[in-house]
Amino acid sequence: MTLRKPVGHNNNRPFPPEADEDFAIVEEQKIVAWQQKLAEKYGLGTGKLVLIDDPAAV
Amino acid sequence: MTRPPSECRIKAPWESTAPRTYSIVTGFFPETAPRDTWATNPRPLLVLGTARHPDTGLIFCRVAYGTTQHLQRAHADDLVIGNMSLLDQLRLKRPTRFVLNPGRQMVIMPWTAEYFRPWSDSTTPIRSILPEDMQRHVGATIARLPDLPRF
Repeated sequence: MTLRKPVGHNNNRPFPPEADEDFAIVEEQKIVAWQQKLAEKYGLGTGKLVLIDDPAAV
Repeated sequence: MTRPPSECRIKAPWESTAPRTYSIVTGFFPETAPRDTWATNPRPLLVLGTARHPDTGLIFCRVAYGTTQHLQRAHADDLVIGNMSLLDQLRLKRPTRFVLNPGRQMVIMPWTAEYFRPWSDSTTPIRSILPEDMQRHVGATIARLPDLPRF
């Protein structure tokens, strides 16, 4: 018997340990608060940034 | 003259190239109270738009976060990936829901190592990109959401 690395579902590529984590739901109020912090820090939402690709802009 | 720390740090090589829209990347998202801390493990995020600051050249990404919880209670607009073959293709291990609706749950973040980080099997936070049919579906969904954060 040999020890086996954790592998992908249908192939032999191993997954890293981070892939096993349970990623929780994030409260909306925390997301909104964080958006505001980032917007203040980087001046987001002012139209200054130049779009590279924005599917929402069509 | 001393430069502020943000100008002194060494950039990761991947920071200078914007990820393609509809890429699945790994990065941080705000976590639970009481402290406004970061998760220790970067989670899957779906890139839904990119822009560049004209002066600094800094790249920004609009991202929807991925969760492995409440897959059965997903909003009809959410992107749920549970097919094992597709998970392999997208280099995700666990069934994952990307929260698209409401759009105000997305965040615009700088494409830097402060906000994005590769998993240990990779040198870049970019893991994969959605198949074209899923890109069209997600694109149509976010084009009608009224509450997306704007660049």
